[in-house]
Amino acid sequence: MDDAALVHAWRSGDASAGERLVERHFSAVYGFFRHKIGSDVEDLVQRTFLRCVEARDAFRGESSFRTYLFAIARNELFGHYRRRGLDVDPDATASGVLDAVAGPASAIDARREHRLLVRALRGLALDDQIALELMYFEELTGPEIAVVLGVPEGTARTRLRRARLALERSLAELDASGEGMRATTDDIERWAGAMREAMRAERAARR
Amino acid sequence: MNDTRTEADPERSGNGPPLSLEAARVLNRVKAGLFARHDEVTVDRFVLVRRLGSGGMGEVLLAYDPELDRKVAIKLLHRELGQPNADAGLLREARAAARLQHPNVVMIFELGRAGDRLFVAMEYVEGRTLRAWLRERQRTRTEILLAFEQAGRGLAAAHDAGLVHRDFKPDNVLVGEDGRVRVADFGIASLVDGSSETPDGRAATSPVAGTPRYMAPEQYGGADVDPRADQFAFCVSLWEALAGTSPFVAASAGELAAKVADGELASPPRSMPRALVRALQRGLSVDPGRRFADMRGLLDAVARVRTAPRRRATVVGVAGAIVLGGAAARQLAPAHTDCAAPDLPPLVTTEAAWVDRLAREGESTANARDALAALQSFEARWHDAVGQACDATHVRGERSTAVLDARMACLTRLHQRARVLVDMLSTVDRAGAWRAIDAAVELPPPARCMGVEGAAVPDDPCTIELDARLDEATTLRELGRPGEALDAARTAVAAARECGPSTRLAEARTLAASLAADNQVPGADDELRRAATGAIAEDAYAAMAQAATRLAGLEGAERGRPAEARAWIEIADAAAQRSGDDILVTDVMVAKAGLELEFGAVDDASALADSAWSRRRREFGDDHPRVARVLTLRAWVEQYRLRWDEASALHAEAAEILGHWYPADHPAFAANHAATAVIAAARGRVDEAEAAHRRAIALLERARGPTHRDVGVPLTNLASLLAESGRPEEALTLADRVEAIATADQNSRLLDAAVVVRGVALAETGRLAEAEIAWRRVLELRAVSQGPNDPGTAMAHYSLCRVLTMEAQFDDALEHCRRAIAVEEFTYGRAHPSLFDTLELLAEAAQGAQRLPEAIAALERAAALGDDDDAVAALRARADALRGSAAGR
Repeated sequence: MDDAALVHAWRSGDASAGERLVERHFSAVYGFFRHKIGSDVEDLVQRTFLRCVEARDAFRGESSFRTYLFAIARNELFGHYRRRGLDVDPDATASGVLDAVAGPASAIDARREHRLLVRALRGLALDDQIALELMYFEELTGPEIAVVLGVPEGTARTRLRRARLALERSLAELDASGEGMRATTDDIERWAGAMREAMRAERAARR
Repeated sequence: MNDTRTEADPERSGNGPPLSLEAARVLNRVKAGLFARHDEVTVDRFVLVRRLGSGGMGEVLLAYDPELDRKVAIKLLHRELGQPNADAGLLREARAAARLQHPNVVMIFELGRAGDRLFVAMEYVEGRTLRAWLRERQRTRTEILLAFEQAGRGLAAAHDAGLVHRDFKPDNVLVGEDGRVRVADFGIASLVDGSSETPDGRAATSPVAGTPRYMAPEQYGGADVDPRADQFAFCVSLWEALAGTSPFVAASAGELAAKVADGELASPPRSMPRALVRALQRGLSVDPGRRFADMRGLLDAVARVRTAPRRRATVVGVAGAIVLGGAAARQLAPAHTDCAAPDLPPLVTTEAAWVDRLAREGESTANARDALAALQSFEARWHDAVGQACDATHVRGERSTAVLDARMACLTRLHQRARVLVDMLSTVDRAGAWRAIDAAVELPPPARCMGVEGAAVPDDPCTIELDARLDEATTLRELGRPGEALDAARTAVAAARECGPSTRLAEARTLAASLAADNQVPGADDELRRAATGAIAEDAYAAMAQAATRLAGLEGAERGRPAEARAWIEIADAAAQRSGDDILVTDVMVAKAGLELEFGAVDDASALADSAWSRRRREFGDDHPRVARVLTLRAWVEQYRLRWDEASALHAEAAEILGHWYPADHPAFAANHAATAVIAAARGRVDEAEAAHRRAIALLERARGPTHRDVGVPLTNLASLLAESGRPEEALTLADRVEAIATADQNSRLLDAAVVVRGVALAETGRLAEAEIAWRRVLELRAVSQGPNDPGTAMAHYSLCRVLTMEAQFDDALEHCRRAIAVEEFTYGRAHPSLFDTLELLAEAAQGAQRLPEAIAALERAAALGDDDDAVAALRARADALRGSAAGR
């Protein structure tokens, strides 16, 4: 069964379809929140899946389910910050917020480059961070990222370009502080690729 | 083991990152939330709570053991189980480690396999690794030495048991929140590496991380190693902690191996005492035969360095060079620039004679061991405070040297008090042996000295004598010798008069008066009042708060006079606030919560207990007996609200904390058993209640002796239970015993309680005339000892009313019921639930005495107080019936 069929079955009361759907996409959603919040992500993961089947904004098959799921997750993330009294402007650099709430680095951060990449990402505006992560780790396309961010396609492309530059700068700053290493766009692509493979392996084991 | 196995599959850990158990746990909880599915992630029977970290050996997880209801740390080893024969040997060694019990060794509870991986379930230590502890801030040399000496004792104990650690390093040592240092992972190193494997391969790929840095030369060869390899690793670790760099400076694994093999040591920092350098160099000898014969030899040498007199103490640390630079920049003012820690002999030495004495007198090595641990914890905190004081002045330059002097004076005084305790422990008697842990726990937390800004070390003989007597009095009191304590306090008062007016006089007077009250000396309350008012004159707010708190206790718990008690406790509160001593403020808060609970103001008591609880945790850390005591108070609040489950949970939480400090057969648990008994009795589980009472009695009899007044209390409770559950004859026997204890002890409260129980039991056996005599005796006792408004007086009137009603002497009965109501109203207010029974009885007596309006009114009042619908309906029906018969007349 594909995602759309599972969603439909779940909405018609088939809990096992719901479970399959959750198991299939759990790692992606979990990773999404885990990178940004650290611990205590259960509630957000659960809310995200719940929203998928709620009538009001249920998935209608217009975009890919994954895209739709990340759009919900992004909304939940902002909702989470708002509930904690941290009104986050998606365009603002969110490092202050993130430093305050970020928990222990996830298992993926085991290697030094990965740690650096995650740290550098955390220095970016929240939506830049989301866009880059979705591109690097989840291999979402430009149009898909536009759907997640709720912006026109052109805007999404501009944002991605800008975000990549910001990431390079951020890595360069870590470099200047002696903690980082000089990184080219190619390096970033390579590290991200390695992390993606690692995450994929984890996901494969889950199925 | 469903999801865990997928997650823990070691096949995959080679290329990808280790799979996260945390993720599995979240997935399961999300599924539980969405689909009401509950498959917890478990390893064996342990339910995983969260991941604590991961290291070379494997993942460490916090888990919960539902069988024993405690937290455990689970180490899930990377190593797969291989050849059964090789594994059997390794497992045998790990099992031997699991039998090792020592305060400085992390206890292993269980070994097992989860899927195809080995796991080790061990004691969960709230704290951090020794490495993290070293990095937290600059540690003084003494702090470092003390921590390593503790770890060394753990190693020595393991060596005695025939075990070799093989992988000792700061990452394998934990420093608990309580300051106690524990060596972890005995026998586990071999489970992971295998004894025949040479580590060269690993060393080549990771020159920094891992074990080679601490390995003895003989370990490189893969030869079978003995305890002296641990001694080597210990010395590398200690050198590194003190100097900030390894004794073997190498750029690569190969160079490191070569230097270790040649014994090519770096030159020691100049700040390191020569004797210490010599000890470490010996421990680092290439030839094991040239090292110390055992750990104890090394530890003695280290301890001698630590306790040797020295001209100046130096702040050292991992980043020693930076610190010294910073300190040097500020070393412009002469004289006080050296942060001289008070040069005091250590409290806890490796094999102190008093430990043996405690074990002998208390007939329990566990008791002695835990007392030692409690003192170790104190000493570690003391050195921590010394280090912080030094940092604040010399490293950070935030505080003046005058502040430093005041803090050091305070810390010195504290250390002296602890010294008095240790000295007394070497001549301690049986009762004192069982109180040793309490006395250690009651030592003020050294961190409180950080708030001190005035006062200096006294140098005149009179004040020194005065302080010594005060410490002695306080310590004797903690050790359960109130009579001798009072003598010492009186001497202190005399000395304080000599030394002229000072806050010390107020302090001494308060202590003497409080002890007079403890000893039930006539006129003690006047003495306390004088101490309190005298303290005002001296501006001695702490002493005033203490005197007022004791007075409040006297008026409240012992006399049952809420108005007076509340007035004193308010004064105590204000004085404590004014004194600026936060811990004292919390003490008063706890006392106030206890009083309010006693007076039935449950919500007030609850609010006070809750804030006292969070304050205590801030002051002492989560895991401290003084926190447990507030938890017990919170439990009593829940009991008062008849919320038994909540009360039980809180009692269990308190017991868990106490379990970390006291052996299971210690009287500290008597209150817990008593509470269990009360809850069981309230739920109608008489057998369970009786068993719990008997447990409490057994603990106290052993620790205090069979005729001690403390034994009288649970005996009375048991007698009361038996009297009310159809076994009045047994109750009477127990009452005889309590009365004998009370008479010998001249303890009027206990005597009173015994006679009350006797009255109840006699009434139950139908010996009403004797019961009447008993109750009248209670009233006589009370008329002498206490005011007429004691809640116990109400009990006596109530019981007399009951007996007389049974004997159909309704007029007399009614009079006693009226008095009981009057006292209860005075104590609890007009609308308290405890008036319910008395009102019901009064109605019966009034009905018998043909005073129907009074009976009807009482029934209506009782109905308004009742919370059980059926009972209320029955009362209303009776009232209506009486109205009917009144109208019919």
